[in-house]
Amino acid sequence: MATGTKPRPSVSPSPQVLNHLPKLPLPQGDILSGTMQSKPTSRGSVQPPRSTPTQQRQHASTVPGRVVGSRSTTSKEPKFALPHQNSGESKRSRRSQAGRNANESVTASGLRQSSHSYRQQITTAFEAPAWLQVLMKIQRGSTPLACLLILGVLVLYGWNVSSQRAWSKAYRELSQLQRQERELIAASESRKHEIVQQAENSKSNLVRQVPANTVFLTPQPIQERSSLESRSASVRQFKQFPLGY
Amino acid sequence: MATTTSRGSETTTTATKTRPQSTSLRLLLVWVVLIFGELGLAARLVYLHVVEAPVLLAKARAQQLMPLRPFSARRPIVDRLNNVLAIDESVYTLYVHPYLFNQPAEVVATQLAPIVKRSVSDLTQLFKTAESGIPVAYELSEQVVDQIKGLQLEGLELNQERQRLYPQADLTSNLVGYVNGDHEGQAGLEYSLQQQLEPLARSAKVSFDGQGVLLPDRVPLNLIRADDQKLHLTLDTRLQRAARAALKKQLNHYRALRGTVIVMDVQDGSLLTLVSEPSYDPKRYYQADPELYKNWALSDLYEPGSTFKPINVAIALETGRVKPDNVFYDEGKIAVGGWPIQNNDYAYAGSRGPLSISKILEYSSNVGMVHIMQQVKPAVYYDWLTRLGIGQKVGSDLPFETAGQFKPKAQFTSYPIEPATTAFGQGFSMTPLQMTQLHALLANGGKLVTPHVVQGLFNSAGEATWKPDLPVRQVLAPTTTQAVVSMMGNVVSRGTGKPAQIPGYRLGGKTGTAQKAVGGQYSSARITSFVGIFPLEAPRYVVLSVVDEPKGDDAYGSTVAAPVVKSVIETLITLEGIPPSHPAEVHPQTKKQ
Repeated sequence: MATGTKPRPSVSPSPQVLNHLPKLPLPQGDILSGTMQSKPTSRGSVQPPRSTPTQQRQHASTVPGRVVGSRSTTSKEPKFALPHQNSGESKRSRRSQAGRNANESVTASGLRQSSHSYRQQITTAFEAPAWLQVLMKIQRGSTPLACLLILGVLVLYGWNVSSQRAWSKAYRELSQLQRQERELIAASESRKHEIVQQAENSKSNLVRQVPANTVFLTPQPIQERSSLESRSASVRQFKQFPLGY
Repeated sequence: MATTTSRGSETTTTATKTRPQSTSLRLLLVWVVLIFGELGLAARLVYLHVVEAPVLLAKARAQQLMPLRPFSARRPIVDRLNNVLAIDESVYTLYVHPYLFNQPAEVVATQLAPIVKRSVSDLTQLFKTAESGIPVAYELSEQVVDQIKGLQLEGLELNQERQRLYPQADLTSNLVGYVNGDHEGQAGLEYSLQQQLEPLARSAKVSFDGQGVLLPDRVPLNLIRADDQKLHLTLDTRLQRAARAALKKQLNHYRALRGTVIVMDVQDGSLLTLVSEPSYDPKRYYQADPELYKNWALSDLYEPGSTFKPINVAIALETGRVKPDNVFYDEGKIAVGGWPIQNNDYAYAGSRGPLSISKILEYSSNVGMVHIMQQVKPAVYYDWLTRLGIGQKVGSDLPFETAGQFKPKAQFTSYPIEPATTAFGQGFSMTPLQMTQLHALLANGGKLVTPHVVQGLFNSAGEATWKPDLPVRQVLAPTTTQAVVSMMGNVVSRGTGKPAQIPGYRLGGKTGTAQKAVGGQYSSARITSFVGIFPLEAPRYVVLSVVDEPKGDDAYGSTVAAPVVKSVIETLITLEGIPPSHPAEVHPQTKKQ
């Protein structure tokens, strides 16, 4: 395995990087020909953004020398899945490459086996005792709970204030209505009295009602249906209403 | 270097052994100080919350809470048709505190003067009299108060007060009464039903927010719910007005002292009308004669005279000693126990000879009545009179009632003149209300009802929350009373009650003309009355009219009081819609066509 290959900021990443990067679709065809077809990934992992064939050609034109190298690299090692030939991607890979050189921890997303055999300790943290772990877990769980409760308090407070305001408004309306009712009753009753006083005092032609000038009507019995039906027969003749009215 | 970094933990452990002791002591000291500080705080907390709690709570409440006193009105009084007879208004009194003015006193006076209707110079003088608490205007209505509040002046204080409004003025003041400045009833129903009319005083300590807005947390529910109970009367204001007009006409014509008209429903004793003239305006009660505050229809006694004769006949018939078709001889003038007794019309009618009981009532013969009542033993007679309630109060819900005056039993039974004068309604006294009650006894088949004017306290849903206690008891047999009522019908159709006839209807009645006793002696002053029972076939109402001291030679019950009763019954017919029992008489000219 070649370990000392300097990572080039170009098309071909080092094999170490290749080991730990997710499998990416292998671009089919020649770079220079311009036809780029991507093979569907078997692992369904992240699809990096594809650059257009023109970008590739540009890229290729800036570093003409490298292109040859890349082609040779690809022909040399077909079994490795090549990442997409993108400048941004290579920069990222370079950074990660640098980091990984210092300590290759086991937490990398790649499931490939590390080629290094030893682990480097990078923290000075010690294993916490059980009670402290419990407390930490409680703290971690209580923070979102506290946030939720605070939000709940704010909502409830807002609702409380708004309901109090609404009640006060309704109470004001109630006292206003009660006042209007009082005024209305007082005014109407006084007016009634005034009208009657006027009727009594004035020399108008108002006559006191007595049985002599009262007509008493006896209620008539309810008409039978037959008489109504005979009447409706005559009404039916007038189905066509006269237009004159 | 790599080894040191990788073995950092090992270097730390080796270094602990070399740390000086003072560090741990300092740590301990800090810990102790902090812990004791915490304990001290905890102790203080406990002290404040447990020991000082009541004092602090009281202080907080005193600062935060203010009393809320909503406008609690005295309950309104309404009549049978929901016309308001008495209702509370909210009025304000304006006080001024000149030391709080933020503008010169003249400016304040100029702004207030047009609203309170006083001159600017008056107000300026007034503001100089004291530093605070100067009353400026009383009984300001709520619209005026809105105007004053709109001025946004400092140093003004408006106190809400209650004022009683009587829309019907002097029409019902004898029944409703009035309230004084402290809003306490002094006469009439305002006085006798003070407890039912005045709601419980409601007030609570409530909290307000920073802007003076009322917070609902501490407001109790009973404070919010308005008291919607009203005192319903059995009175009919329309009939009251018509009765008063008819009575006033006769009072003016005969220049009488005073008069009263009472209309009562015979079945339950509810009063539709109780007019007593003269009357007063309850709003200006202080300007009226205090004699008027009591209702003379139930607080003044009078000798009933001939209107009592039907009741005597009923007593005689009930004892069984007298039958309705008995005949008695009317001499016109007799002497009983040395005292002369004669008929009213003896001067020109003389002796009428044998008369039936009905005729005795028709002619209103005193001597005939004496002969009728002589058939009943005086002790039995006296017992019956006591059973009918004579000499006792009627027990109505109006205040200041007087019990009738009646001779003691020993005197009544010893001297034969006593039952003789009682036979034609003199020698004892009662109130006009009691006379109405006794005639209702004849009209409703022998039941002694309690005259009342109050139906009860009703809320807005129509449910009764309080009703007065009104006993009813049977005293006479219905057959007796029916016989007497039919005789009273004859009085109107053939006898002295002819002025009370109404075409198309039949009513029973009795006139009454009694001499008033002044200074222990009978004088020439009279008290005239007429009682009517309507309709004759199935009596529903009894109408009594009493006119005190009508002047003139033609002042008798039939001329003074009977037209009043006729007028009242005519109005009653049209208000209640009672159809005529003899329709042919109503429009005789149309019938001929």
